[in-house]
Amino acid sequence: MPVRVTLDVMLARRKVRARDVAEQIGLSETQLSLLRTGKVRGMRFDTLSKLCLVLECVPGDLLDYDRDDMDLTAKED
Amino acid sequence: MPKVSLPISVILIRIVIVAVWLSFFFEQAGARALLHLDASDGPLLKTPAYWVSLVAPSFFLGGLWAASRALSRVKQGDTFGPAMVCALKNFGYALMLGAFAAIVVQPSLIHLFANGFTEMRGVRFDIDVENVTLALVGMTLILLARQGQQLKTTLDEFV
Repeated sequence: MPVRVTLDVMLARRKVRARDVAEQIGLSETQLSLLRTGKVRGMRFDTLSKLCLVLECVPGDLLDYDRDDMDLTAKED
Repeated sequence: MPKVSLPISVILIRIVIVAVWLSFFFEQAGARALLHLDASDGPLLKTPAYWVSLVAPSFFLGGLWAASRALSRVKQGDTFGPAMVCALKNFGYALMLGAFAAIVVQPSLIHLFANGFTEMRGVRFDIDVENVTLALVGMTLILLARQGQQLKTTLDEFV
């Protein structure tokens, strides 16, 4: 998928551990790990806003997009 | 073992189910005795036709029991968990089996028993709107439960 989760970069910049962030935003470590590795179908807005609050950033700092012209014609799984 | 307390509405539904089954049991016995449907001098409860006539209502009441399980899951806040899906599917299957029994199984078996297994030409049908509707409602419930389960799985993939 061309949308990438760049949570790892932000965690490294803020020098916080994933376990602490998971605890603060009310996710399990497994869920946060899945999110970091991009193995989820999507992210809820409330999870995104909690991450932004805890990491003091904006959604653009946590997500990136690799341009792919096929996206317009791609079908849902 | 955790103590599970049933909501009062579910308990009431289950009491009604048992009461309806018992009343149906005795109503059927009384009706068949009055109309001499079994043409036997022995005790009515020993006639196979009587027991066959209880098959479809038993499925329907079993379905209501499954519905009460689904309601109790709703009360406990389970939106579309495995137990809820299972209860809905059981409700659907019970309705479909009950309708099938009422349409095909009961008429055929009652005819067979009434004639002492001496004549049977094909399968007997007793198609009426209520049973066909119940069968379709059951099928719809099963399909909805499957769709709901798929949607829940998809939603669970969102973190």
